[in-house]
Formats: sequence, C-alpha cells, structure tokens
Amino acid sequence: MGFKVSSDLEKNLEYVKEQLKDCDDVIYRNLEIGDENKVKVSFVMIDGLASKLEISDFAIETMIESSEVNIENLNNFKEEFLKYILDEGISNSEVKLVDDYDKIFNQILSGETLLLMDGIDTGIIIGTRGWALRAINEPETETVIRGPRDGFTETLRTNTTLIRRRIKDTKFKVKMVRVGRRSQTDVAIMYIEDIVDPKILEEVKKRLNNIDIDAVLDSSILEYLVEDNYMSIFPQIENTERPDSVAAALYEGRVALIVDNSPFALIMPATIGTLMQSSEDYYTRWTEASFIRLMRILAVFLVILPSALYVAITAYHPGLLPNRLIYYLAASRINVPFPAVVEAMGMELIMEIIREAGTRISGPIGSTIGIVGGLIIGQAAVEAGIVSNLMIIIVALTTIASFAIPSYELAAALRLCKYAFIVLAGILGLYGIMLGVILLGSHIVILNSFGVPFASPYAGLGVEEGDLKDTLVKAPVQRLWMRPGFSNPQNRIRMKRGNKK
Amino acid sequence: MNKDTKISHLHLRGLIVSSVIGVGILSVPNTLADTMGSDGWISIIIAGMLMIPLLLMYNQIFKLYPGMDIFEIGKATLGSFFFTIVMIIGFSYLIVSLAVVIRTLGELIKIFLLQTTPLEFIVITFIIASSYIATYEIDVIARAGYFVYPIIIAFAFIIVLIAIPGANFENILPVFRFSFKDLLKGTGNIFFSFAGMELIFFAIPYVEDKQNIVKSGVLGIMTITIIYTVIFIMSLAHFSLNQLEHQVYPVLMLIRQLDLPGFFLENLDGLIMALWVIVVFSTVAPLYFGAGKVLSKLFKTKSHKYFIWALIPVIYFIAMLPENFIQLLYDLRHVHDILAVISIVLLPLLILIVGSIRKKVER
Repeated sequence: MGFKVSSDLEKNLEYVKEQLKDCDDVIYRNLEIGDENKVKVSFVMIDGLASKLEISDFAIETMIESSEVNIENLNNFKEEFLKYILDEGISNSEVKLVDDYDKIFNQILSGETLLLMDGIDTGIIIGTRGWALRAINEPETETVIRGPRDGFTETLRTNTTLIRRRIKDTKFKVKMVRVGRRSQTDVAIMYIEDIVDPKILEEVKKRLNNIDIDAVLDSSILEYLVEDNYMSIFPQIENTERPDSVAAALYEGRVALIVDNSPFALIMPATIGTLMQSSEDYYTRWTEASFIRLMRILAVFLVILPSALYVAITAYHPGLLPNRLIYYLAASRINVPFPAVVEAMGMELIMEIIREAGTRISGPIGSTIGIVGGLIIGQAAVEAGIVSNLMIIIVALTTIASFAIPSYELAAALRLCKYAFIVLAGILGLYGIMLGVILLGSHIVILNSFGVPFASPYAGLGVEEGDLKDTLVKAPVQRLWMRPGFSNPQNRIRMKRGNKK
Repeated sequence: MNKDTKISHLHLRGLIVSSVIGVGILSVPNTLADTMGSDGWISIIIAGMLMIPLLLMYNQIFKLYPGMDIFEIGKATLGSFFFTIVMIIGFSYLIVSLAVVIRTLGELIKIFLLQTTPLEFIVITFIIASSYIATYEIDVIARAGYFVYPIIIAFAFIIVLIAIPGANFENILPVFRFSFKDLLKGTGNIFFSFAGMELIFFAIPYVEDKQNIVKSGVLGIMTITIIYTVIFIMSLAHFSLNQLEHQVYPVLMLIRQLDLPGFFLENLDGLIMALWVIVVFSTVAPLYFGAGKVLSKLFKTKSHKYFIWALIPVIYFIAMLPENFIQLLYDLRHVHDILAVISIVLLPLLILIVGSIRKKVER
C-alpha cells in the first residue's frame, strides 16, 4: 500500500515486474519516442484481457508515427509531454492518470493497459478492456413464447448495457462496488433513484460492504452472503437471466445486483409473490396470464401434497375416499410389499436421482436416462408389483408440477418440503400433514427479505395497496396503474389513470 | 417497547378474527341451544355488541399512555408489585386457555382422524409445532393471523354450503321465546367464545395507523359475530333444537352426515377437521406468544424465546391434567372461564380506571 509511480522508468518497471513476477501472461512493450531527446515509454497489459488491436492501433501506432516531437524545454517537461501524449499520442476514448500502484494493478488485472513514461511520476491507464465474450443468447432457464429473447452473459458491462437500453432515464443509477479480497469482483448495484425505497437501498449497500471473503465466483455466492436467513430453505433473493425482468423489477422500485462473471442478476427484495411471477405473464393477455398464475399456485400444492396425501389416506384414513376409489386403491396396492411411506419415499427419491442425472448430462445420454427412468423404473416396477400404479402417477405429477413453478430455487425448496410432508404423513396421517402446513406457513410468515415480509403480498405488506391483482392474478395493464406496494416505492403512480386509446 | 415491530390495521383485524375463532366455532350452537333455545342467535349478536365497548376500553388504555406497551403501562399505573400479581393472573389465564384449546383439539383429532394414535402424542406435537412461531414477535403472529383469516372465512363458508341441502329453516321459528334470565345466561356463555380479544393488548401499541384501530377492530368483531350467527342458524336449521341440545359438536356431526351424491370425496369430516387444525393453530399461536411474553416480563429478560421452549412441558402437563373429555369440558373450562372474566374485563378496567385517575391527578 502506498507505493507511488516514481519518475524513473527503470525503477517503475522493476517494481511492476517484481509484483507481477511469474505472471507470464503479462506483456511489456517498450518504445522510444521523440526526435532528439528520446523518451522511453512502456506499455504493460495482460495478454487476453486487454484488446491488443486497440492498443496497437490507437496508442502504439500513433506514437511511433508522430515521433518527431521535439522537447527542448525540460523545465516544463512533465506538463508538455503529458499534454502531447494525451493530445496526440493516444487516441483511445478512455484515458486516466493514476499514480497509486494499488489502483494501477487493479486496473491492469481488469484488462486496462498501463503506460509508463520516463521522467514522469504518473502512469496513464488506457481503457482497453476487451476479452473473448460469449454472445448474447436466449436465456436457457427462462424461455418465453412471446417477449424479448436476449439474456445476460458473463460480462458485467454487456449486462448493464442490456438494462440501460431498457431504461433511458438519468435517474437510473449503476453504482459499482468491488467484492472479494482476491477476486476483486465487480458488482453493479442498480436502482432507479426516485422510485426505490432508500431504506432498502441502504440495507443492500450495508450488507455488501460487510462482506469479507476472498472470492465471489458467481452471483449465487453473493446471494447467500447477503440474504436475511441463510438457514432457510427458501430463496429470499430473486435471480434471473432476463434483462427485461430486471428492468421491470427496477421500475417497481426494487434493487438489482449484477455480478461480474455471472449471467444471473439478483433482484431484491423478493417475496413469495414475486417468486411466482414469470416475465411472460406480462407479455400475454391478462386472462391467460391470470389463469396460468392460479395454475401455478395449484402446482405448489401439487408438488407438496399428493404423495403425502397418498401415504396418509392409505395408511390412516381410507374412509375419506368413496368406496369405489378405496377398492381401486386397495387393488392396486395388493401386491405391494412395502408400507405406503416406504413406497412413496422410495419412488420420490428415485425420481430425484433420475432428474439429477438428467440435469448434469445433456444430449443423447440424457435421453437415455429419460427412457431408462421412465420405462424401466415406471413400467417394470408396476408390472413387478413393487409399486402401485397410482404411486407412479403421483410421482410423475409432483415432478411435472415442480417444473411449473417459475423460480427454480422455490421449486427446489418445495421439493424438499415434500419429503418432510411424506414423513409427517407417515407418522400422523392427515394431522401430520396439517402440522407440516403449520410449520411451513410459520416459516414463510417469519422470513423477511431486506425488511420486507417474505409472505407479501398474501400476509405481509401490499394487501391494502392492491398487490394481489398482480400476484394472485394479473389484471389488465390499464388496471395496474400503480406500482406494487410491498417494495414501498417512493412514487407509486406509474400510469395516468384511465388511459384513452 | 420494540420500535422495529410494526403492524397494519388489517393485520390487527386478522389477529382478532383468528385468535377469537378457534375451538369455540364447533361448539357455539350447542352452548346456546342449551340456554337460549332457537333464539341463540340473539345472544351471539348481543355478545358481539358487548365486545365493542371492550375494544374501546382497550384502545383507551393505550391512548392514555401513547408509545408504551401494556407492560410499561401496567407498571406505570398499578406499580411494580400489583402489576406483578396482574401478570401472574394473566399468565395463568393464557396458559389454562392454551391447555383447554390444545386438549380439545387433541380429543377431537383422536375421534375424527387418528383413532389409534395416543392422545399424548397428538397434544405434544401440536404444542411443539406452535412453539416455532411463538418465539417471534407480535408482528409475525399478526401476519400469521392474517394468513389464516381467509381460511377461517372459507371454513365457515364450506360449513354453510354443506348444511344448505338438509336445512329446514322452519326450525328457527318461533323467535323471541326466552326470559331475561335466559338471555343473561346465554350471553354470558357465548361471551367465552369471544375470548381471545384480549390478545390485541400485545398488538395495539404497534399498529401504525392508530385512527383505524377501532374501525378495524369493530369490523373484526362483526366478522366473528356473523360467522357465529350463520353457523348457529345453519346447525339449527339442519338439526332440530332437540338434537342440537344433545350434541356437543353439532358442526362436526353436520359435516359427518353429509353425503353428496356423485362427489369425489365421501366423508368430508376428516378434511374439514384437517382444515380446522389450522384455525386452532391461529388461536394457539398468539396465546402461546402472550404466555411467553408475560413470563419474560415477569423475569425481566429481553427475549421470550427460552420461555416458549420451557413452557412446552408445562402446557402439556396442564392439558393432560383432566382425566377425560367430560372433565375437561367442565372442570378445566370452569377455571378458564373465571380467569377469562378477570383477565379480559376486570383487570383492563382496573388499569384504565387507575390510569385515568393518575392522569387527572398529574394534571
């Protein structure tokens, strides 16, 4: 700390080389410019991170070509020479003078180029970031039938650009912070100044500041570090690959984080209501979107309950079903050698393994897993009489239903709950399931996300504000003239009421 | 007083409805049929109306000492020593209420859902499940109450729907055939079905929009009154008065008798009982929280979390004290009713009177 650029180029280079010892991806380019009094200059950059084309075309080439500069007046050498370098030597758009080595190394390692000059005790950082990028692709986890198809990439700047293109407003702010002692990962805090609740923004900034970790490799790590309750099964921060989702959240007065090297942006606060929304809801007719939203709520129950109910009913309360259904159930279970709990637990766990195997492997082997899983385990197990037909249908139903929930993390949490419910149903039947509902409900009510109750808008904030018309169903755009209230935006009106055609 | 805890007036309404409606909803028709006959609904409405001055009284206490919670007010008005006695009485009321509610739940679950499971196991699992939320603050409890609020309305609605096919509304007639003594007795009985109101003591100081407290509270009381009235009338219409007098839980009988032709589920009573578990939970959670909170104030600790855990065996023990259901219905309930009158009406009145006098003297 504290090392400054000295006016002796040799000393500077020695120091830089000492610090970047054994870093063989560093390029040093030495030049001499000037007509009679030659001045030595050196470029330092990282191979692959800095765009070589840019540095050779706009800095090195121009300097060599215009090397007939004549510097006689040594008294004023520093100002004159710097002026010359900045005015004629370098034609890049981003140039700044830095003399602190900590900052300099930081910049070099981010892909900028350092220019050191003999006799001048300051370095010039030239903006030359340019590395191999992944092109903007359609997001793989959140596809839509209608709606924009661009998704985030691993490069932070590309991602902020994608959002900036959707919010052409000076009030839209992108604050950059760095997280990670060694990784020095760039994190962009994004918000719209006159909509966001300052308390939530402060809280986000405070929590980011408190992080002390050596590396942040992905936004998920940051998510676990800043969320309210890391012991919870529920995600308390939303993540998305879609710039339009982020922009929509910003317009609702929420805060978004983009982490360098991660194609997933974080949105906070998140509530059970927002985790059940998909961006496509806003691009389809309100009637269909409302219907789909209700179906999703049904899907939540279909993930948790069917196998637990199967266990409870077969083991404890066969009387709940009409007689014909009981006979059917009894007949399908007649050869099954296991108690219902073992049967349900076993099948659900096998399904989980098939699913995991299918997620990690794609392509031809992946479809083999589907065939083996579906045909052998399903058909053959039933024919062998190890599991009942109904159990297979239930397992298929719960698995499919878990894919109908927009947030993958929420679906994963509910899948875990399913197992707890099966166990509870095995011990206490329907009463056990209700105890599970009580515990799960309590947990949802207890959780907070950046000061906003996680149960919003169903039981927390936003009931009075009418948030239900954009969570339980989706009202027509004309009716959503106010921003949702759960995120406590400063300015709630987003549309002139009664817009005429 | 904790400054971070905030409740909206809607949550207050949810809290009132969910903490009042619990075990009582199943026995209300029987309680009234015994004393008031077919005119029981009149008692419900009168008792509901009597709750409104009670609500105003509660609100007035907090108006006298703005920015203070009930424990600070109690200390300021009655002094440390007397308020400790008040707290002990309040605590015994809360703990006996918990025991009565949880034991009733256990007995009914055993009858309707789990005939072979030991009662002890049902009771202890319910206490443990409820203890989770009780360790948190009143805003969380109120949120849970608000969550259950629509479930309670749906529960009442389902019962009404079920009762309609077999209903004979002539059973309600003739009206106005009761003596003044009957009315007093009936209203007195039904009053205990409104117990739970006192839990808003913990909530009122944290309500953000104070001017809406009374409005929201009155709406909550009205909701309860309407639900009770409708359920009474439906059960009366479904059974005759004679039958109603002899069934402790006519609502459950009503559900059990249901036979909807061509319907997917035949015996809805199990499912309704399951739904009812949540309704009871929303009564138990604030009571449990209150008991823990009072205890933590008695021992002057900051957090009430450890008391909630310590209370698990205590509640279990008291709940299992009555040897059978009959004893529960008469003995423990009797103790509960006495403590309820003292804690819901008399002690708040005492605090209000002493507080008002003190304020006058200070001026």
